[in-house]
Amino acid sequence: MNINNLDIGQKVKVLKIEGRGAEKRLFEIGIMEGAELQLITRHPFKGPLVIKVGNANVALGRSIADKVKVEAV
Amino acid sequence: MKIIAIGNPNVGKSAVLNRLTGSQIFVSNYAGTSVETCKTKMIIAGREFYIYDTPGVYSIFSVADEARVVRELLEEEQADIILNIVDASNLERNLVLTNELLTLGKPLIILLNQIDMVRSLGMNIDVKLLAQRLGCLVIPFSATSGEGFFEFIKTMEEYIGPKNISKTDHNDKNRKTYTINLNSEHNCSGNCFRCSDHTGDCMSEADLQRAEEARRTSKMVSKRVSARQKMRLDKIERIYDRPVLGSFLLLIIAYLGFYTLLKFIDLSEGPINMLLHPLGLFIETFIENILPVGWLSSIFAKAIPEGLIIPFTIIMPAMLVVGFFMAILEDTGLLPRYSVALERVGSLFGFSGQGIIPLAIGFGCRTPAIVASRIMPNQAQRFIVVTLLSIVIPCSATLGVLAAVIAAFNASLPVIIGTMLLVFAILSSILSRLIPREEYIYELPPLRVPLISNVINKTNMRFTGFFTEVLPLLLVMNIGIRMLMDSGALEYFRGMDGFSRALFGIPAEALVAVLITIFQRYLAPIVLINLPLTSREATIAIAMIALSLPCLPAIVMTIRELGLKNLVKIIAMGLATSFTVGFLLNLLLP
Repeated sequence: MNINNLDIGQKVKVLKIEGRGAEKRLFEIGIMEGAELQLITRHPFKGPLVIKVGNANVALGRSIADKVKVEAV
Repeated sequence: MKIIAIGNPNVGKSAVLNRLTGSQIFVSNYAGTSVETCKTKMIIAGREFYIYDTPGVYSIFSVADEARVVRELLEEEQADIILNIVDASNLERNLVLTNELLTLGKPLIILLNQIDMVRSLGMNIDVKLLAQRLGCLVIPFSATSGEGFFEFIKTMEEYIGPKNISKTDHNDKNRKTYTINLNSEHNCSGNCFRCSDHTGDCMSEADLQRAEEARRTSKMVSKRVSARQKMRLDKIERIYDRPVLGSFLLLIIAYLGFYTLLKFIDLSEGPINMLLHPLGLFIETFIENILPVGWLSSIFAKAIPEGLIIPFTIIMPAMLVVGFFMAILEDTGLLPRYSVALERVGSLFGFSGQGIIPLAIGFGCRTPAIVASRIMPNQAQRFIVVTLLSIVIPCSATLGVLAAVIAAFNASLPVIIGTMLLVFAILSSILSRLIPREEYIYELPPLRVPLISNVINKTNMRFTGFFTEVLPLLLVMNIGIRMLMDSGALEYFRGMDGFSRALFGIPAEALVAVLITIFQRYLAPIVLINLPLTSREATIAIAMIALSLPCLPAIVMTIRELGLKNLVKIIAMGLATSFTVGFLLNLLLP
């Protein structure tokens, strides 16, 4: 399961991040293995997702969101 | 005594420094505004302290521009103290950076900002325990209420006094430290155990350890003590973060800003002209009196008063209104929300969504649009937006004149509009391919009520360049152009009729009009009106003019915002576009 498949408001834990490249930028913003996330909104027309990490809201493009594998908590 | 302030984006770092020093530092509410570092002086107990403000970074070892700036500053300026500004309401992530800073082995003071926010979240942070775990001083702080200010001053007094911070047991001597090595390849942190290829965006074992450490510390020191209080802006934030309704509200705000801008320029033009007219007359007589009668005198007497009109009637109001609106959008935290709402549209053209805003402003006037291009996340994206603005987007003045000329010659409107749309599509796709797009990761700051003093400071700071850079530059360029026009250099091109007709299918006079766009884009079509052109010739000439070069004020703003080198690139692309369009239309049109 990745963040794209979540329901609005669903809380999850990051299992792993697939592929290299944006791994470091995600890590810096707090999205790493074991981090807890919550999906806040999903913009239409395959627009960005807004997720909550810690106490911060972060917008992610769909392609990068696909790489974040999560499991339900 | 040098203090370097470092913190994550959106922690309210500049607001903290504003509170500490009371000075005019750029204060911003979205990731990555203060790309430049700035320095302010503060006097405590008779000693001078210089505080360096730095752009927000998530990691000092990151490959991002901001992190590079911070590393350079740390290397060049031998800082006495690092002031780490931490967002207490987002402790875990902020502590990752703190853990990095601790490895530098410099005296570190932590300002735990937004401590009031933590309380309204119903949390409590054990400051003593945090200080113990990190082995450095921690001062709870609030930039909004001023809490912690006196404790900071006291700490500084102690620092310069006999009891030196670095000598107290707060700084753990046994900690393993590293020095930043800028010379290491790709700016890698150098303490990597995991990867063998130093690509710069690799994550090291040390990174993971620091994150793990931050998580443990954050869990240990934070405790929930009461229920989360409802915050004033919670509700509004939830509305703005709803995709459809939020985007709609954002567009209404953008429209209001756009409307105010045009109205302001429109309304201010009369009074400003009224003031300028006598001034112009005075300058004219003054120059004629001091300079000997002749070519030089007549050029200066004409060019200087003329050169005052555009900066005062268009650029000054544009810089003020756009500066003010951008300050409000930044300080409320609305600006990043534009980026998210418009991301899809922007990606069609190869830039971040907020690029739509300067392009939309460009249909009104290109000068404020170039100022507004600052909302783009980096220089490469700004370049794309400014290039499109300069070459393709017709401003309202251009549109008006173009429409008049099209009507006068019965030129083909569908061909001209079709060509413009096509050029826009081709140019943006070429530019976006040249400049790779990063994965879209963007932090949204919480909505805040802007501090009026910050908004005024920012508008003021963005406007300061008007008298020192914009006005002198425009005056000099205006004089240069007058000289060029009066010297008859353009006459030379009139002899190139054969060349012009063969290549573009238009007479040489029309080609001269195209070249005039370099100076005044909306003057060029007027030159066309007086020529005996066929409808086909007019269609080609108008398309060439519509897709050529930025006007003089836009040129000056581009130099100011992007530098001369980028302007040269844009002008070269503009000329290439214009000539290609003329050449192709001549081939294709019946």
